[in-house]
Amino acid sequence: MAADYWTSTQRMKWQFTRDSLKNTRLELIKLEKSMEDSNLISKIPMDYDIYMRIYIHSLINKLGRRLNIRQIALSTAEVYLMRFLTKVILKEINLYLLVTTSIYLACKLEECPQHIRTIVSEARNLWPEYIPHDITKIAEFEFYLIEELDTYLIVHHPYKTLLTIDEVLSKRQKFNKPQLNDDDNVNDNNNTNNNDNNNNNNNNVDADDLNNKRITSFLTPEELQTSWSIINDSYVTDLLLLYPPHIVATASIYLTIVLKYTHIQQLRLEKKNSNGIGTNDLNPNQFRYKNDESLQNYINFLGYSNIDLEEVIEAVQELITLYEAWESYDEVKCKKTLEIVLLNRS
Amino acid sequence: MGLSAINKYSKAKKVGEGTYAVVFLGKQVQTGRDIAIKEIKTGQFKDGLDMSAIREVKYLQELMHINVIELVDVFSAEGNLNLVLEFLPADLEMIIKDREILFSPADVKSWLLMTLRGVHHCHRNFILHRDLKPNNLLLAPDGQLKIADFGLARSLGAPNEDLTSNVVTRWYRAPELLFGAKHYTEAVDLWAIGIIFAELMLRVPYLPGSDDLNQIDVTFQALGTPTEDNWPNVSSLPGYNDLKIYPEPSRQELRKRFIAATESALDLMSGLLQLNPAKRWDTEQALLSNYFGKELPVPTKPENLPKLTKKE
Repeated sequence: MAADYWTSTQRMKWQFTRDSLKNTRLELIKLEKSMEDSNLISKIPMDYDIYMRIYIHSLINKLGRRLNIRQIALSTAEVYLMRFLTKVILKEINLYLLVTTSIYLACKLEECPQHIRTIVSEARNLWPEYIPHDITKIAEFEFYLIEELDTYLIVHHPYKTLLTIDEVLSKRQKFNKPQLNDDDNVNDNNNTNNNDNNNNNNNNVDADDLNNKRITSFLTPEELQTSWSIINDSYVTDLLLLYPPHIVATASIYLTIVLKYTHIQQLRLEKKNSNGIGTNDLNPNQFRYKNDESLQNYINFLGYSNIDLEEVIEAVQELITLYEAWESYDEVKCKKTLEIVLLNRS
Repeated sequence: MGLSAINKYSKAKKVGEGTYAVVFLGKQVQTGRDIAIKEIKTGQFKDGLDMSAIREVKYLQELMHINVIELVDVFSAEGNLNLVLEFLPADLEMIIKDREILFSPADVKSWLLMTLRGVHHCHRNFILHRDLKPNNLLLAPDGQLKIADFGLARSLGAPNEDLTSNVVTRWYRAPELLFGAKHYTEAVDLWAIGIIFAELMLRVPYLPGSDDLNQIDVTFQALGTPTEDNWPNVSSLPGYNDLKIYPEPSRQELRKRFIAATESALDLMSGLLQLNPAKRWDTEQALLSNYFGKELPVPTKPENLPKLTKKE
């Protein structure tokens, strides 16, 4: 994180409204049409739709995991890719090369640079038909990418706000309920354990990031992890092109708490119906008390926070739509379409 | 949106060449404004854009402050990235070395104030400059001082992130860097400002070490060797060994070294040159100190500051 979001190029230069984003994409479609007509690109339909975007998301994560790259750099890479594809037609470029280059550039930006040979060879292991041996192709594409980004490179992510909101909420909770200290001890133990870990994978690095900052916490470690994962998923959508990062963070916590809350409500209902068998094991009363309250606390916080709730609701809806689409996502189909278009296979 | 066209600018003459860029003087065609063009070498195309170039573009696109060099525009031409920067004809090093210029205490205060304001803006945005020195403090024709060269800059690291201690030009390197610390903060920039302050008063570099080892000796001879007493855990830093223990200089000794300095000037300098980075003053403390607040003279207005006597 560097610089202030409110004066950032992300807000001043790279934030769309729903309308402006729609118009930008309509322009692209017009361009695509005319390029198809003059046989510059393939006429086989390939849309930058939600399924393709889930596929792109999975490509980024695959290469990222191979190289053990920090989550923040992968998220930056996804934003670069998203911005790039507001200006360039998907069919016009080699998507696999774009994915590789976005990660390569994002790693430089987030100060965890990867050697160009390493990244090319890992990408070649994954996608041998698409990634050329020649490393200068990545270097050239990087230049093209920077140009299309208009050289605005810093990206503000929701992760930091997630931690800040958690901190603020824990302070409010502490103020109201000093006896919740027991929970804090549990978290402290988690901290020491996590710090002893040697960051085997990028999830752990993130967990360390989380825990170092978290002396006390409003969200349980699982809730925090869920919110974090929802933020990771949000990069499939246009959210970060449309809203400030704190809106996405707020929406992710909302989904986490509410989903869990409804889930527990449902459990309780099932318990009641089965005549109270096994109620003692779960101690649902304790559950209920805590969760009703955290939901209430969160809603109170939203009320006082001055956060644009309409935007939060839109973000929540967009995320729910994403999860619904995920149910019917077909990876093979996306892969095939790309094969047909990029390799002329049928 | 989109990058500008090359024909908006004219390149007049080459004025410098660094490891990753060539600098030209030129004009903005439409306005006639003087500008500098930094053409980033991408010719070799091996690893793509150099990290220093990336950092410079990354930070200068975001930072907007009267005491930070302005990135006017960026354009690409013949496969090269060109940064259009404001035209800054002099730097503080040239002024310090120009023997024909006399500095008044008000002049020194003015330059230091502008430096601190610019650095405060960077720090407020969680950006460490990591290479402050008179040579990187450029001077505009209207006298404003501008912090330049963000090729080593970076965001404040996360707690579990290692940073390289191989930053800042040797003479301006803070003790934690001399000891090879992997975690450090904005305090490294404030040390450098303290050394620059001393240099402005002395008119010669304050701690000119001849190599990295000698730098340690020169630094602690002047300011005392840090110990566990004034800097807990300092002895656990990688480079803390085989040190000659020098005592901290007394106030009297500092007065003797900086004859013209007032008491609040010495207070500020000592605050900036605290060995222990945790005790070192930050930009806010420095800007609110008596040196700027209560004590006369008031800083010279930028437009009235001394200028270079000879043109190059």
